[in-house]
Amino acid sequence: MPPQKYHCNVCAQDITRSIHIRCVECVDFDLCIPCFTSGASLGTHHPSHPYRIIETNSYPIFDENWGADEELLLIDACETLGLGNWADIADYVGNARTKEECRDHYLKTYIESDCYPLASVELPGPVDRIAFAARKRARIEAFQPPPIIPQKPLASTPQCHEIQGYMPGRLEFDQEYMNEAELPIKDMNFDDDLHESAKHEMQLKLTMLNIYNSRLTRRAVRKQTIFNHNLLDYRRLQANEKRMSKEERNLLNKTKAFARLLTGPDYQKFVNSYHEQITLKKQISDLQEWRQMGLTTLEQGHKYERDKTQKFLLSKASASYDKQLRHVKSFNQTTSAPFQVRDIQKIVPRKPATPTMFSASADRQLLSEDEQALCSKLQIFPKPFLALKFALISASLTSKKPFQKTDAVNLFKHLDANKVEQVYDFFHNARWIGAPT
Amino acid sequence: MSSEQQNEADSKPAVIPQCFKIENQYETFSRLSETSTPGVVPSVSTLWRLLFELQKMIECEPSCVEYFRQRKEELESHVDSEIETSKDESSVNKVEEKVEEFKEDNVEQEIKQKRSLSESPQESMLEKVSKKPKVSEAHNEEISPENVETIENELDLPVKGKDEQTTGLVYKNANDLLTGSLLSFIVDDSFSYEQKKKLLCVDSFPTSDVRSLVAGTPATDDFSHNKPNNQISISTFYSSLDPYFRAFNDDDIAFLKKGFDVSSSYNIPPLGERYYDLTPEDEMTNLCANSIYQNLQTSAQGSLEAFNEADTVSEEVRCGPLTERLMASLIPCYTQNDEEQKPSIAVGEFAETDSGSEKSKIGTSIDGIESGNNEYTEQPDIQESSLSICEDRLRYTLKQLGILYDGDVDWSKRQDDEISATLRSLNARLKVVSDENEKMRNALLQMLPEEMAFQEFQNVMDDLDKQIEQAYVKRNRSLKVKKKRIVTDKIGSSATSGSFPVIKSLMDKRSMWLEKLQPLFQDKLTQHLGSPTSIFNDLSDHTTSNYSTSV
Repeated sequence: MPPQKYHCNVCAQDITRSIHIRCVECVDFDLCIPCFTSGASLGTHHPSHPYRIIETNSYPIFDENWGADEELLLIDACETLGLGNWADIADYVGNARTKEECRDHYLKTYIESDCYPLASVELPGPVDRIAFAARKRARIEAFQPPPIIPQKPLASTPQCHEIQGYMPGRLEFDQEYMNEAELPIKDMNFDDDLHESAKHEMQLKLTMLNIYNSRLTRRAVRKQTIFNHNLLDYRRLQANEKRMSKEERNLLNKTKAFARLLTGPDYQKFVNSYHEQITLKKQISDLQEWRQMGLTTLEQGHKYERDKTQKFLLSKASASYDKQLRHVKSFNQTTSAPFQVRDIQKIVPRKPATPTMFSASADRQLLSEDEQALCSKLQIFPKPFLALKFALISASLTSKKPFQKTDAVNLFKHLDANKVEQVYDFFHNARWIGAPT
Repeated sequence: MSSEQQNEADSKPAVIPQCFKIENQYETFSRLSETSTPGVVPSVSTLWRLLFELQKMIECEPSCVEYFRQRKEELESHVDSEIETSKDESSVNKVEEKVEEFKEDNVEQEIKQKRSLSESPQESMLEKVSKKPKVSEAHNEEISPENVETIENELDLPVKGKDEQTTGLVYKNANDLLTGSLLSFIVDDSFSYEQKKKLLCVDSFPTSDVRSLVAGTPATDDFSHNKPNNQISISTFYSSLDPYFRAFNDDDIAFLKKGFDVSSSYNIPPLGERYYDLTPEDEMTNLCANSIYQNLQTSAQGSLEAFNEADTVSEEVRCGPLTERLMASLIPCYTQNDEEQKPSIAVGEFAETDSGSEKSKIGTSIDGIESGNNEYTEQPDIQESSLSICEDRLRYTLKQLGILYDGDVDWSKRQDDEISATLRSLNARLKVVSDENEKMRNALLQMLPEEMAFQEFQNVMDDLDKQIEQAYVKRNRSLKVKKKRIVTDKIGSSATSGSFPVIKSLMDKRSMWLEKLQPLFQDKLTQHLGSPTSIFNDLSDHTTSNYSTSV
């Protein structure tokens, strides 16, 4: 879109970007080169009229890569489309210019020049117009226009938030706190009377304005608290509260009043300390109950909880159905079974121990990690291992001569010699069995 | 016009780029002023250029004044008279002279080293300025050394000033143009308060930034998305905010003082009796039941004589709890050769003492036995004796040493199992959290009385504000009604003066409250905000309401 367009008055061809002929006598009469050559005449124009050759401004004046015509287009675009609107300016200039090029060229040539807001001195030396045209042609061929993004219709909906009536772009609500504060002010006007009653009136009005200002400040303080604690995230806060237990929810409601005295992170820290106390207290009470029941491992405690839950459910169900009563009776019968099974197991020979059985054995916590690994490897339970340890160390201490491996093997004739040797080596490395000096 | 032409003609022989700048500025200014005809409104770009040129000339003025002052002090009375005559000229001529002086400064900068050449154009310019055709040689001789001195003195000043001005101007203008702010182009920190008021056409403006009075930070997000489908109504949201903004009362103080009762969590109860209700269906549960059952057994059982392979996977052969824990307390020592002797000596000593006791026992039972027989009898003794006897003997020995007291040990109170260890770690954590919570509550307790006092103050102010507002509305309503009727001035003035004392008393009361109590709260809150000893590092954002006193 050049600022001026020229058309041949004979063939109506666009001759803006090419050399054309302008008649001197006729008013606004232009001819293209072919029509001029053919000696065309139209209206009052006659081929014998004197003419002027109009040349295009396609040669650089300030920058080697910017022609004078492009400079004019750039300035005209900046004036009409506005500075900073470089995308539209680049589109206006055309000639395969990007918005970055237009912005950089404008800043370098016109803003950073010594003769601001005018450009600096022109280019020195002769201008190679042929090379300039070649560079321009190459640039136009290599230029790929940016993809045209279809502009979505921007509807003005400022209340686009999950809370109805809140405008996130303006940080305002449709209904503010003390929403009727503007009513006394809206009809107020100030006259230029100098009577005494007018002065009283002026004083009263100024007081009303001060009252209005204090209400605005109160509104801002309240809104600041809302932003600090991110209370606008309403759905997330409500979901968190539903997830809490009743005790935790009551405690949270009691602490909400202190939120406006603290910053957001401090308030979260304060509330979390209460929740952690509740959680720890509950866990500790569970562990205390397990200990009163005679349990010694966490695994037993979890099973105890599951059994307690099952019994609770069974007792609930059995209150209304006779069938459930039969199940309860059968359950009671099965509770006496452990004694019988225990007696039977004494007669039947023992099965070889599995690692799972070993992990549930008693007095395992008395052993160190190395000892536990050794017992698991040799398939020895902790209590027999401790007895074995006591025997070997006692024999070593009471023996006057150095306690050898053969002595240990002889001491336990009924055990596997390989096991006894490994246990002896373990104790010897720990220097519990040593030669007295 | 003729004077301008003469100036241009004079400047032609000494064409220097820096001189050319000033000439260009002046020429552009004159051309722009000429183009603006009184009837036609000039374009925006022309106005911008005019403003820019005016600002440049204003900024050039102080350096010119300084230059004149220095020359006035140093030249003789004849030169003073010349300057006075030049000052008497019109303002346009003054502007021209200032521009010419700047040209001279540029000339001096360009030709620092060639002083002989700089003298001749300076003399010619002085002649032109003063418009005196002839000057005697004596005057020339007298002026030249002083001119040299002035040149030396003024070499630094214009250079620094111009460098700073040019760089500042270029940078500032570019930024201002990008932001598109015309006022920021004109008004900056170099202007005084009075000048700013004139330029901005206001009577007063705040001296500090009022951004802090607005809640929240300005949003720069993209808000072109659609409105969500199901929005939460504003009344629901405001009702959810009520717990956050309710007034403080005594229940809050009691809540902070009470805290959380955690004393019952710190004790570890003794180990209870076994749990019978495990189902026998699972073999593992049977084994657990067995292990629980046997875990409570405190007596030793079995002997080492019959210790066989099957006993290693059962728990029928066991020491007593005392012996087991004594064995478990041994710590392995993986020391090097240098430290080997010490533990071995200790072991030897222990062996000797133990063997001594053994000897005494054997001596009492058997007499006249050889040493070889003694060694032989010790081993069978250990083998033949049961583990329960060893347990009892160990307990007896520890009692003699004073480690154990009389009476049996209650092994149900032992705390070396997994649940006890977990209980201890949880109790330690609970103590830490409880102490921290107590510190937070104490910090809030210190803040709360001031907040409650400020709360009372605000309530009183609200009541006063409402009374004044009601009186104002009532007064306006009555005035409107009376304006509709045809009422004489006397009756109107008497009516207004009649109702004013009531409002006057309310206004005086309000101003008194503001004057006397608000500074009190501001000082306390300011002091509180700056306190570094807070546990939270509290950054309370409760801003005080800025009540401006009534005029």
